[in-house]
Amino acid sequence: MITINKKILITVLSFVMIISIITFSTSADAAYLSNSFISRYVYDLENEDDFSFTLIYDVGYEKKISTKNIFGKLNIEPRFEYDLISEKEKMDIKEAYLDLYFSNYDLRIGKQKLTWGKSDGLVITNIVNPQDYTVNPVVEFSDQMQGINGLKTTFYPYNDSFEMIVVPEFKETNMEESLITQNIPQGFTIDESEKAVDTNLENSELFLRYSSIGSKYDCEVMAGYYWNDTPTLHKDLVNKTVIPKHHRIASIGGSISTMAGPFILKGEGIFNSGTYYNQEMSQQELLEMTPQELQEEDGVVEKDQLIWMVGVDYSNEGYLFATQFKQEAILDYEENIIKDEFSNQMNFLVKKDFMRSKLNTEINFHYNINDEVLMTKPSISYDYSSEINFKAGANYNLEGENPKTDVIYLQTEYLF
Amino acid sequence: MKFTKILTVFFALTLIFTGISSEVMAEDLSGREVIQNVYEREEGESREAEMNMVLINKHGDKRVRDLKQFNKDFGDVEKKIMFFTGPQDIRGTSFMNWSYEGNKEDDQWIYLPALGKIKRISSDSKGDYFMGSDFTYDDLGERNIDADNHKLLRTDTLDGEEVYVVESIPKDEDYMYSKTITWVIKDKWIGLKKEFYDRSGEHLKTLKVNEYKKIDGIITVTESEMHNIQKDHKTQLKLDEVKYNSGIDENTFSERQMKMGI
Repeated sequence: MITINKKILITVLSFVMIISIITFSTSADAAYLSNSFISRYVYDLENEDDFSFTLIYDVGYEKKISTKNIFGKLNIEPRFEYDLISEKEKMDIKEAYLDLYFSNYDLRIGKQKLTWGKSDGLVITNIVNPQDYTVNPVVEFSDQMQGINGLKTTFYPYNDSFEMIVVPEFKETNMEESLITQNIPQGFTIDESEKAVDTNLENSELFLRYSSIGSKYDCEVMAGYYWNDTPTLHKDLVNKTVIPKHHRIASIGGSISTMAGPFILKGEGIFNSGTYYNQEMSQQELLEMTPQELQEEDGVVEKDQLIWMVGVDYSNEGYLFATQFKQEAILDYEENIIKDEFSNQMNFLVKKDFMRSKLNTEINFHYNINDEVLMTKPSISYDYSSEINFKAGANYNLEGENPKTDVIYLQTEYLF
Repeated sequence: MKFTKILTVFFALTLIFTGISSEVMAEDLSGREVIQNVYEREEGESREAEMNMVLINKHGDKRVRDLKQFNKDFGDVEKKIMFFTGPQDIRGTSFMNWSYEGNKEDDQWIYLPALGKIKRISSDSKGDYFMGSDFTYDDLGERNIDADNHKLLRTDTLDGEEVYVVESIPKDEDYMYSKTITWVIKDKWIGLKKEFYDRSGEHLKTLKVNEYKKIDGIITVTESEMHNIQKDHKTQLKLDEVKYNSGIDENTFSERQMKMGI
């Protein structure tokens, strides 16, 4: 996100609108322009105060390219935001890419978001885009994904697809500063000198995916060689500093889904090699270390990790019930690793549409079994017309402690 | 007086013979044969069309859905793909259905641009309504002829067309309809009207064909309306730009196309 001057924002906005109007009025085969204006009021349930009141203007510009030799599409989706409470504005390009279609392969270059895997809302094989955990509330799943600048090539052997993505510029997870600072031991300071990953060919990330849909089942097989999006906090015990560093991870995984009567069965798993974990060290252990050992010790250990999930969707009488169980396992576990050997979580979703799909309701529960944290995300939306939609929802913590603030939101969306 | 008697006898005979001839004609074909003729009517190997769907509630408020649809018969499997082209809130959504010969359940997938991925969905809930319309997924698909017992009720005239009236009762007692009655145009084998009865036997909705025409030599329903009698809402369907046997590529029914759109 780039914070920009209000005047620049208004100028850019006006410019886009003028260009759009001109494009529409002068060209018959034209670009497709979609506009969405959202006003979203968010109330902080914990502090019983306003959380934010944001005006969001989304533009979707789509232009098909069709020449004798080239067939493609240009897609640009800028977003402008202004918070009436904090009086801060933001501008972001959600996606901006050029697609080129050839007979049996496609190319996409630019900023893009890609969703992998069969699970819903879980990060297992869906690792191409880093997450943005500062978004609150998460109204659309894709809002929590950060676009990455990359080159995607997709080949189509038979009716399947084989995707290769090269990301030359690393982007890390966006999270609240407090989440990092709370993990810094007392008396330690942060040294961010080793955090940056330089943009060069050697540091590029590579992702591969083979995907197939068919009459018996759908499946994906994926692999990746990339940087962990969240930095590992190394310790310099001599100088009492915490040094965040990103490490390379090599992953291989896959997912599958199939139908059994009214059930859709889903499974997904990934093996990550090169994940790092912080270790707990007692005062006694530190005292027993030689100066040499103390210099070499960084309070971090490298392990392999296995993440898997199983899930089922069940539809009946217009209701959709969906549940997922996810486990993260640290292989060759050591007792002093701060994280649990097995981290388990469950999701449960109920969804139902009423009034011929004008009124959509859903409630989502997320239970972190290890930390005994239960969160719920109910939402209700009503399509007053094809242009106007009202939505209300909440992100609410029912049990345990959760870093995200409990909020309730109301929003109106106008599409034009 | 004599003339009056002759006239009475003439009318009586006419009525009898009309009745007999109607019975004879009705007995010519069984209900199953009439429905089989409907199912086996020439529909081409493939078809593409633009579809406009208007959802009208009991207050007369309208919502519109624009789609582009492709379907192709591959022998053992019939594949269908639909792209929602408007309005903006559903634009980019695509739906694909593979329907098989015999008892194998359909495979269905949906692509939602907001999620950015293709999801397999269960085809078991065929009683669910399609995109808020009055058509269930089952109404839009082909039904196995042996799934119902068909009985020819009578012959009749509807909108100036001679029709067979056939009652179809599902063998599966748990099916969403207790029965359907179809008015089939003789020789053209098009269902001009169809009444659907709910599980308790009450009249639920009526499908009425408002326009049909010959396109590429194939009789095609171009305008129809489904009226939910109980809730008093309607869905109007209009087909445009219909093309048969236009050489639709097999790759049209693929993951790539679902994401790419049209």
